[in-house]
Amino acid sequence: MLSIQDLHATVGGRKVLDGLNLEVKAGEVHAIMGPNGSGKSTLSYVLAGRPGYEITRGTVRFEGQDLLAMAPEERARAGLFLGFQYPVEIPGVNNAYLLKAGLNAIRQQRGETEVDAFDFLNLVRSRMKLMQMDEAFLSRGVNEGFSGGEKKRNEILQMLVLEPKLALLDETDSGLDIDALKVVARGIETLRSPERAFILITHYQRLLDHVQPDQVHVLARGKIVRTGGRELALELEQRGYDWLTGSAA
Amino acid sequence: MFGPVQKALDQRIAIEPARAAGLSDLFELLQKQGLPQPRDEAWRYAPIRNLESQPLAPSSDFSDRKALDALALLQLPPLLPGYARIVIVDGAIAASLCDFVPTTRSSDLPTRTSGNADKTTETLTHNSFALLGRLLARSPLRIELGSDSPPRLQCVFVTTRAGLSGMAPTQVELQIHTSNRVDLVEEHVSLTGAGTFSNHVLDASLGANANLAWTRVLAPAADARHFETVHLTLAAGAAAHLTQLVPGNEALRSTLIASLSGAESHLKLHSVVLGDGSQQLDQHVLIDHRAPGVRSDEIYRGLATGRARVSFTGHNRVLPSAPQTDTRQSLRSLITGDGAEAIARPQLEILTDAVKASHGATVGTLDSGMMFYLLSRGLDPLTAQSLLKWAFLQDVLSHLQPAELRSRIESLLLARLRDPKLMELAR
Repeated sequence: MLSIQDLHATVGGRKVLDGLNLEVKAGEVHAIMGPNGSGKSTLSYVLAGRPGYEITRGTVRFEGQDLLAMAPEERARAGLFLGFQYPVEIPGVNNAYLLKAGLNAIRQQRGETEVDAFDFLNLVRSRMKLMQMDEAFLSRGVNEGFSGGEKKRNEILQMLVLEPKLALLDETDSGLDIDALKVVARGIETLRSPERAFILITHYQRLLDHVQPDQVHVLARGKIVRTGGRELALELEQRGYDWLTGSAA
Repeated sequence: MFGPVQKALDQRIAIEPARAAGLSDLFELLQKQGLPQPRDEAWRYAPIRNLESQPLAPSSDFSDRKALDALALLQLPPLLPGYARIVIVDGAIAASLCDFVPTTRSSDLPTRTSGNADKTTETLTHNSFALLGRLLARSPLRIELGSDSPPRLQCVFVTTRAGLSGMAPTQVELQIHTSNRVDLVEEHVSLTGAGTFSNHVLDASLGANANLAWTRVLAPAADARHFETVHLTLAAGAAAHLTQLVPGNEALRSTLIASLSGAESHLKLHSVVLGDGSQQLDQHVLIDHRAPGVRSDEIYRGLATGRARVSFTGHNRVLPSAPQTDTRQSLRSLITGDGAEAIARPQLEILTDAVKASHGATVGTLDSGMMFYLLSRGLDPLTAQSLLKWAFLQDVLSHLQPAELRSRIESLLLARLRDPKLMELAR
């Protein structure tokens, strides 16, 4: 589904990704861990197409397409979803509108008709119930006045409604209490399927207690320095990153 | 330059000889001041270039009021449900179009130095346009709203005179009686295609504990020029929520002087301006905090598209007589046109201790973080831009009451934005 080869990227002239390779197949869940400043968020932004990041070398193919040649909205419509680490607040644009507009854009790309108001409401209501969110959130501005935890739930709600092929969740677990973490994990597990893949960017292995990853990668100095199973996350919890970041030199 | 003004004044003095001295005094002041110049800081961004060559006095009076009122009828916005309506056409009450005819009598002429006004307040209050309005308005109105008046009022000012036949003056004095509560919607419209030039002078005062929800819609035709001077005074415990909406016309200068003169009085000012094409829209607001424990909240949102210039100066002054003042100001301008210009100038002047004051001003383009967020959800860039422009204005529009007015204003703004994508979204 996703194939990253020798990816190099800079931001503001500073090298952030330095030859990153990653293969993600449909049905897999990958966790990417690493110390602060290792390039985790940069990777998510580069894949989603955020302006300001310069790709200096390498390729990224998503479902056989050249992802880097696509505009951000084309990537979203092709089935890539980024759950933001710090979701922005957009007062004046309500959540329901954003969800419906996004869903219809994706459906249009797939050659499907626009969802009607009734079906949309049913879909959103069922997803909100799963995320234990109040329906009042729908009429509020996007993330406007939401707490940190509410913003993260809202990211997962959007993912559940848009049903992407590949979800890239950037530290969705940070700032969540244990109950909220379980709700978020349930959202991810709900969508998990053989046709879909996830990349979970996280600092802590506690999310991985609830969402079992197929592979765990350690990102340091802009490249993957170690890949393993879930036991690697447990080892990182015990030993930290120093023993691996040293090996990246 | 003021020859035609002198002539019009002579005509007025002939009708009202008792006021000759006062009028002559104001005219002398006008001559001494001359018209404001762009080098005057308070008029730096006002659309006042080449005004000397414009006819500043009405060239003649209309005699056929019925014909005029019929013309005005075509421009009237819909009556708001539950509201009584007053219609003023070219400065005079159009009784046949009114649901409520207010008490009217000649307004008192202000003296040159009124009360405790200092030079800053005095200069703005008695600016040349205000003086012109006071000198030349044919039928100054006084509207007094007491407990026996309608609680909800829609006041419509219609300008039909072409700008070439002179600036059309209107003078109104509005008094809200002690403890009275009024919802007032004030709308300014004009004859499309006439290139009208209106000059509005309004003195509003709220008695002790009075409450005024005041929405001002400055929506003359796109080819109109509108100048105005509004003076608002709040007595002790009075509260005013003033929402000012400017959907955009050729030129606008709005001068608002608010005096929080009574202890614990509160002014909330929300303002939205949309400039397009080569429009020049300038607002200058002075809020004087003059008594202990007064509060003011000022929110301004200005959107400049095309080659428009949209400017706002928010001068908040806390005088020595106003300890425990709480004042907040948020000025934001958004530029979405290549040749557009936006100015947001906060000015905070504190002359006493124990004051809470916050202010912030930003001028910028669409937020790149918000844009990317919307794109990352699959929205196309045009839709995302349109949504963000609209969202920017919603900060103020979302509070607009009643719903019928909000819907009408939103439609007007959508039409003036001429954004096909937004029109599509609104459908």
